[in-house]
Order: sequence, then C-alpha cells, then structure tokens
Amino acid sequence: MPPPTDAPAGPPAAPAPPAGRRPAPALPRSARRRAGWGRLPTAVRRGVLLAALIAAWQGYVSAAGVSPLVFAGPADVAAALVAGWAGGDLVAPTLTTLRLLGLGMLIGSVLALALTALAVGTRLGDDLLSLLTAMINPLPSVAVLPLAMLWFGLNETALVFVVANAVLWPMAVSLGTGFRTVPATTVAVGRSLGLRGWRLVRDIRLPAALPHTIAGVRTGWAFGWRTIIAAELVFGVAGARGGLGFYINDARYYLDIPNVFAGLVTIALIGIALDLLFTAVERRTVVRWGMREGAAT
Amino acid sequence: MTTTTGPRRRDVLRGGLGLLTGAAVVGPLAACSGPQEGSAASREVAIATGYGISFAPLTIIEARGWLEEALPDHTVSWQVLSGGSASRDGLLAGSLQAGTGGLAPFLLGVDSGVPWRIVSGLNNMPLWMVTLDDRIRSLADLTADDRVSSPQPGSIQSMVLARAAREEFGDPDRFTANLVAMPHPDALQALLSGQIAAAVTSPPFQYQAEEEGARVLLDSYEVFGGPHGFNVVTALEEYAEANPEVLEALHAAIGRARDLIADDPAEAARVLSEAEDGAIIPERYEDYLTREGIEFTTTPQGLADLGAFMAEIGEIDAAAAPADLVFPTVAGEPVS
Repeated sequence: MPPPTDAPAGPPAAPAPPAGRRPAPALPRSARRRAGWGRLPTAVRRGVLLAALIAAWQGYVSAAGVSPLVFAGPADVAAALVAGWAGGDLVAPTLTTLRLLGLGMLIGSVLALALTALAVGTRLGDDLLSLLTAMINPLPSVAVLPLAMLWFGLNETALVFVVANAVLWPMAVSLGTGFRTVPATTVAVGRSLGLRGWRLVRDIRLPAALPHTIAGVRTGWAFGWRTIIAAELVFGVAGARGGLGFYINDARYYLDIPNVFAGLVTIALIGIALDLLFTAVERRTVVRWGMREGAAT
Repeated sequence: MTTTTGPRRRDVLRGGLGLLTGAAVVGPLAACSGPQEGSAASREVAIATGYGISFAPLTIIEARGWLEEALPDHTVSWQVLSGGSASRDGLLAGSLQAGTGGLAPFLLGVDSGVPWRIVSGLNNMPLWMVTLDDRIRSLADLTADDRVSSPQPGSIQSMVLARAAREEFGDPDRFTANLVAMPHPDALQALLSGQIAAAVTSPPFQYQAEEEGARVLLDSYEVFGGPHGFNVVTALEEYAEANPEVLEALHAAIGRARDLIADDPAEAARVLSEAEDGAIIPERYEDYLTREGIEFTTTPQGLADLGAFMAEIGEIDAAAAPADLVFPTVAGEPVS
C-alpha cells in the first residue's frame, strides 16, 4: 500500500486508475499510476484495450444469440475481411475510393492555395474568401451532391466535385490563418536578410505557415474522406467500379452483414493509417522544429 | 418492449454510433423477438408500400380504412419505402409488420435465411426498360459509360436485364456495372434530365417516360415468356404465427381492393389520384390501371420461374418450391 497522502485529490483510488489523460507532473497520484497500467507503453495499453473490446464483441455475439441477419461477430468479420482482401473484392473498391479522394483533394488543395494566395495578396481577395468560407463552410459538403449529380451526371466527376468542395473551404481557412499569423518579427528578419518577393514567401512565409498548412491538409482529408463515403452511399458509381460506400450498400442489399462490417473496418483502418501518416509528418517537421508541441499519437 | 421504440432503435443503428451502441441496441431487439412480441407488438401494424400503381391495392386499403375496420383493436400505419430490401430491414428490425417488394428481393432474402413468407401477391405487371437516348436502339448500343437505373441490386428489374443479357449475349452480368440504384420517381427524373441512359422501371413510370418520348428496349413479359408476378406482401414467420388474424385481414383487404379495381377502375383511379393530392388526374390513373398486361391479384405467380433463373446465374443458391414460400393465406390459390 502506498503511504497515505494528504487530502486525496480527485476520486478515490480505484484498482485500475483511469488511463489516457496526461497527469499533471505535480500530482502525487502520478507516481502511483506509473506503478501499474500507466507504466505500460502506449501501444501495449491500446492493444490490451482493443483485444478486450473485440473479446467483449465476440462474447456478446456468442452469448446473446443475436440474429446473424442483423449483426456479425468479429470472427465472421475477420473472415470476410480476409476473403475480401485476398479475393480482390475489397481491393478494387478501396482503390476506387482512394483514387477519387486523391483527385478531389488535389483539385481542392490547388484551389485552396490559389484562393489563399489571392486573399493574402489583395484586400478584395481577402474579403471574398472570408465571405465565401462563411457562406459555404457551414454546409455539410455532401449536401451539394444532388446539385453535382444534376450538373455532372451520375459519374465520378460528380463525386470528385463534391470531395473538392469538401476539401477546399476548411483548407482555405487553415491556410489563410497560417499566412496571416506569420509573426511580424520573422518576416522582418527575412527582410533584413534581403529576401523579398517569391523568396520571402518560399523561405519565410511558407515554412512559418507550415503548422497551419499541415492542420489544413489534415482537416481537408478528414472532410473529404467522410464526404466521399457518404456520397458513394447515395450513388456508388455502379458495379465493378464502385467504391467502398457502394460496397457497403451493395452488401446490405444482399444482406451480407459480415461484408458490411468488413467495409466499415476497412474505412476505419484507412482513416487510422492516414491519421498516423499526418502525425508522423508533423513529428518530422513542425514538432521537431519546435513550432508546435508534439501531439499525442 | 413496445414497437413504438422500434423505429428509434433502427435510427440509432442507421446512425452508426459504433459497435458498442450497435451491440447495446441489437441486444434488446434480438431478445424481444421471442413469442412475447406477438402479444406486445400486435396492437401496432406497420405496413410498407412503395411507389407506383403496383401498390394500388394498398393505397386503396389505406384510403378506405379497410384494415382499421377489420382490426378494430390495432393501430395501422403505412410507410412508403423503395425496394424490397428496405422492407426486409424494417421487418428484421421490428419496425414493420408487413413488408412489400418485388419477387427477386424476396427470393434473395429467403436464400440468405430471412424467416419470411408471402402473405399475398399484389399484381402481375410488365416491366419495361426505357430510354430517351437516340443512340440507343437496342441493348447492344449500351456502352460501359451508360448508366441504367433499377430500384436496387438484385431487384426484379435487375433480373429482367440480366435475363435479357443472357439471352442476347450469353452473359447475365454484362450490364451489372452499368446499374445504379434509384427509386422509380428519381429514376424517371434522372432519365428525363439525361443523367441516365436508360431505366428498368415499372408502371406507371414507364408509361410516363413513354409519354415523354421514351422508347421501350425491353418488356419483361417478352423476356420471361409471359405474364409474371411483380410485387408481394411479406411478413416474418414468427409474427405470422402469433398474429394470423392480421395476415388474414390484410389478404382479404387486398382481395377486396383487387375487386374494386376490376369492377370500378374509375373509382379506384379517383382514390389513387386523391391519395396523391391530385398530382395525377384520375383519368390518367384509370388509363394506367387498365393497360394491357396489368392484373391485380392476391396470388403470387412466377416464383418458380424467377427462382430457377436466379439460381442458374448464381444470384441465389437454390430455388425453393413456391408452396414453401407462402403463408396459409394464399395456400389455396394457384401459386406458381
């Protein structure tokens, strides 16, 4: 037993203290936490939690006798995932979705960059961007899908348009903030060194705006990813060339619940993978350069 | 444990709040699908209908209040859904007591183990594939970029196209990649605005397309070699066991509506028009209702034939005997 502390701060100590939140260094509790759960590496803690969740999932399916017509257990889902990835049934939809997302993001990013450049350069552009983002940003991006379907038809162009629209505005906001908040001192130093014009932008403004740029790409990707899946659920671009949203919907039509789950797990895994990628990029750049505190994985 | 929470549970499921929520939600749902649901849920009868004159008998029953009349101690409600799988999901989730849909989604459900059967047939109807595109004169003119609508993958409309593709090109999957899923009204709009090249649809949408200048590429009666059933009313076996009187009442009311349509199509057309607040005038509905090949009936027909085709192309594993697919309500009729 640990020695009694003065007035216990917070809830009475449970056998497994709550994990996750970073402890304030001064609290005496932190010492106790290190002795148990908290001392394990993050990967182990999360792995154990994940395993427990999956076990609970399987236990629930086995014990509750829930109808396999509406719910699938982890074993079935794993089997469907393996079959889908080995047989290629999941590969093609995943590639389709990623291709559409990539194209949409590329177009959205270029437009965002152009709009931001205009906004940073001119007063009129600044007002225009502020007005446009204020008007369009609050719209859930998939809401423009009916219009896109009318304008472009039921094809990939409509999906790319919706994704580009989803990416453009949040990204433009982030980029704009990034460029506007470059410290005046930094710019003044650049000027003193004799930099001007494009070199000032390239060597001073762009790196200084990097934390916001990365945050912008990250937000853009998150918006785009949600949007493409939602849009594909509405209309998948049919058959063999459909994406993950279409895959899920198709599996639902055929009451193939394990495959519905397999599609969802694939979407989640890609989401996690891309998020890790951005975290890694941040670590290697803005965190290492001391522009931003390290984010928790 | 009452059905009033049914839709809300379903909504939560749909919202996809994650596995745990899903588990927490499906748990009680699965747990209460036992025999006690019969007594607790029997007060509420939610019935699915759909788009088009295929559902005319149900529209008439709803407008005339025939079910409320026959089941005075029940609450009857109606839901417009698109496609048989929406009905299937509603039945499985417990928010529907009677579903409707085409023959093909019904057979698909049976094949994947949905414990449901047919309460009553609704109609025999020719299903057309229509196009407004001058370039497309036959199936052979469809390219990989042409979109073709059907209500859903595995719908009877998709089967019509698959069968025609097999007859003509020896490949039932030739146009699978062209298909997009759309409810009939949306498909008609999409066809007229040029978003899709063709639509495999149903009355009256195919007639409305024809009025706008569309050409008929396929007629299901030709593809299947004769008239066939189109829509059926379904229920879960468990519910049927506990509530035979509801099924009987529903079947009887559909028969009554069938007689009304046959004896007095003008009156039936007036009811249909009124149910849509006059969006389509009664005279036009009367014309649609009396078109050649359209027949309202309580007898499901064409199950064996369509089942055999679906088994042949691998859409289902095995075709069941029609007699095993229906409830006693229609057992005395010439089900085929």
